[in-house]
Amino acid sequence: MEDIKCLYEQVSSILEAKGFHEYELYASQNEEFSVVVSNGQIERYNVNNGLGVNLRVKSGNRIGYASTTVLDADSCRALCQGAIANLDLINLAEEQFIFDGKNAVYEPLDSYSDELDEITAAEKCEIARKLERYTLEKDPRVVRVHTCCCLSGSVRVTICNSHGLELTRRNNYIGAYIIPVVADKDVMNTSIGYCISRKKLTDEQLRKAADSAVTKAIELCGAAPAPSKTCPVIFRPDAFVDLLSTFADVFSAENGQKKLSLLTRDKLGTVVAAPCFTLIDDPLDTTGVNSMAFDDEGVPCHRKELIRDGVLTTLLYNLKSAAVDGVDSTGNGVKRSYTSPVDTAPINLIVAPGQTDGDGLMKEAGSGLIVEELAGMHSGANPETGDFSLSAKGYLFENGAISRSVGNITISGNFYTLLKDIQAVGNDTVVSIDGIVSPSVLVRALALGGE
Amino acid sequence: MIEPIICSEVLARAMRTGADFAEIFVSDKELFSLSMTRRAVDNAVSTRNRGVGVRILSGDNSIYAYGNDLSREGLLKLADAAAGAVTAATTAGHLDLVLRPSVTPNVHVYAQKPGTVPARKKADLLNEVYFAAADADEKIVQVDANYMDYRYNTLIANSEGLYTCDERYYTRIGVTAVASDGKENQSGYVAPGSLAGFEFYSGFEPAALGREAANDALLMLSARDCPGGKMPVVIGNGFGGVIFHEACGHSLEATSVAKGNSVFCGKLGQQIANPKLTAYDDGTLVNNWGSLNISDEGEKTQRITLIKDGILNSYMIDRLGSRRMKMPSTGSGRRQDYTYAPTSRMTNTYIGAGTDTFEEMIGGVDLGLYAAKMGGGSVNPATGEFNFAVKVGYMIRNGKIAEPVRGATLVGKGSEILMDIDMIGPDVLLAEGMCGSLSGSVPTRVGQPTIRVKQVTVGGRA
Repeated sequence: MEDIKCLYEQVSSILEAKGFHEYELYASQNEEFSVVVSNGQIERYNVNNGLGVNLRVKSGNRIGYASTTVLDADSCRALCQGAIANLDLINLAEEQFIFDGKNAVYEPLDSYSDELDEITAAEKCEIARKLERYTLEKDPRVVRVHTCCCLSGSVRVTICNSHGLELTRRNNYIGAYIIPVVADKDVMNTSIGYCISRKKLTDEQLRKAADSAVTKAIELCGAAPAPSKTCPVIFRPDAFVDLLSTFADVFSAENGQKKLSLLTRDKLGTVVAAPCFTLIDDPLDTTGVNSMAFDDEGVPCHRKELIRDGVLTTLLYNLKSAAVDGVDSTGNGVKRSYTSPVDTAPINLIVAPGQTDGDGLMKEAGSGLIVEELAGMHSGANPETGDFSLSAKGYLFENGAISRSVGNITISGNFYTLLKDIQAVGNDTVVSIDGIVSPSVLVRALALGGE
Repeated sequence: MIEPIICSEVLARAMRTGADFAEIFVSDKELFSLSMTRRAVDNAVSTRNRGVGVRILSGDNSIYAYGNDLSREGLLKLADAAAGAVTAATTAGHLDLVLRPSVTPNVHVYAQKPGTVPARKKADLLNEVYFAAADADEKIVQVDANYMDYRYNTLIANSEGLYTCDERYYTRIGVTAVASDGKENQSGYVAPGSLAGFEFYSGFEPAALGREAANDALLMLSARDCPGGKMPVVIGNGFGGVIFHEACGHSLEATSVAKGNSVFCGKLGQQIANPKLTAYDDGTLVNNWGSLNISDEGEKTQRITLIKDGILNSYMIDRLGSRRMKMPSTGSGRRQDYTYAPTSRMTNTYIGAGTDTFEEMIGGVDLGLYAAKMGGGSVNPATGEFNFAVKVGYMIRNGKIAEPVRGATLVGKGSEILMDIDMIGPDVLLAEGMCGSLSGSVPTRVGQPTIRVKQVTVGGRA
């Protein structure tokens, strides 16, 4: 914090001398560690300690950006010159903002665990070794481990601006994942198991990660395609999370304003999903690992329901898009990295659980497809149109019970239509590897593409 | 950037616990980017990202530490962090490493380096592309466009005496057009780029890019949903090569092969594709988006014949892969920047020319798909299962190209599709993409002539 403050003072004196009085310095300090083990030996080992800063300078309605990882006096001047030069190129009509902090109240938030700082690199190597051992011991059909990794990270974000705002937030996590390779009658398959937490990982969590990876890999090994048809589809939590995170941008008010999302402001208060579906963004919930008390513009975060019982209740706003619609920012001004312009994104997405367990969802649907894994999210899904056509793996079920595994198929549909076609939401909530919290979700009908 | 004498001190320090190889990699990237939306430039960003990574190898294992502090103290700290992870049986005595500074010969031409071109000129170019798309038709409801260029300097020093620098310049422009009929949206996307300076944009009419993105969006808006099922597919040239990149290329990288995680393990000299097929990974193509003077491990980039007449000829191997596979490196070590240890990666990967004509390919299909333009995709190298999206497609009916269709995805297995490619045209074309893997996101080109595949599973909604 002290060195960032010092840097801010330097930048501030350069900018004030040039006649600029509204600006913000954003600093992101990262520490990351990861170790990959193979047969108990360290195969890859990474440590990182990085610091990057981003400067935003405002003049009139416009903001120019510059960022750097080089922090000597020359770079400081270059940073200021860069941001000022970039200002001149902007000709957007909408006003951009440096947060003035008026009326801002910040919730105290426990998003950093000192307990994790005490875990040594050697202990993390041991966690990875254990996870590998549990996986290899689980079943003789596990022929080897593709990747077994333990990783941890912490980030400290500091925002100082010319309105006197001075904020710091810290986050950390530890996680482990395993990708076993299984072979059954000469056919190979892989799957992934993981755990992620803000507390020390327990043996039970590691065993569970190993179990789920091995079980999935074996059950789906050699899974054959099925004939093309339209049928009910149950998304297991991880698969629904993949879909949701791919289409999360549709809740951005700015995308609505740009007509890149069909969820525009005039849809507020209307039905956009089935009545059983409630979707929450709660940055203050500490179940996942993405919690934060303020966003990347320094605006306080709060819990909000995006969809309540199927009705669209709010969109996600940063300061710029909020001013366009004449509302307050929802505290969702997010930068993809410290170098990026402020964008909009959910921080901690949570699908409210329903009443039904996994078997109950199958009984409700009768027969159909369970999707365990999806692939091709970055190519087969189009956030601008809502269309998706994705490679899937999972199970066919008939009369409420699993009949066989299925793979080498696609499922296709449209995200907006899918929301409305949700028939039931499960109660088997999982915290996914990217922090989104979701149970299984049953969708009335999607197209399965196969033979 | 860092004097040879400091490099040798740091390398020796990194090896003191018994590592048998050490390497310093510095990258310094100066990037400028512009984005346009709602008919205006909304963001202009300058970024300088400089940092250093210290890698040590101990047998088949790799340790990597990186950070932003390039001072002697900062580097020694990284060396210590790396050395601390090695528990070798024997530790090294005093190492006296002598580095031999060398100049990397540059084969690429940069007539107008980005730093010499006024930012306003770049904004004008972006405007031209943007408005060509935005004003193409009243159904075009939104256009997003962006421009970027960067200078990328590297320094590589290693315990074998290497000390060399390289400089590269990249530029790229991208435009996405969204067409709407009030009920539905469809989009079109074009994004050419090059290992070149600003002169790249005088090689074609910029406005044509905007019009192409708009036309693709409009065409797909008028298209109906693609039917699903197994059918013959004719895949267009250029970015169609993503099928080879995904379905085969990734499985030929040492990353997959060394640990036995590839369907092509142990298949050198064996028939893995139709005898008509020959394919290359060529990092030497002048001013190509995926080319390099030297790999990110300091080795000379090569033209590798991956498959010759259907027979597997070579893998793509980096230094660590070479140790694990006990085969020579092919100079394929790449990384996004200092934040990643290098691994085996593709450069410009493409299927060579054949002799079949387009008419023969289409004419022989009763019912199938013509995937004129491909989108991106992904693959699981262990199983060879791939998926990728068709951006612009048409049905083929009774030997003729019929109505446009949308929403199609191709899924299958790499090993199967290579054997199933039954016709190859003469019209080789390459196109730019970004490839993501273990060592980050790197510029690559994919390419092929028009090809026909006997049978692929097509995912569609109709």
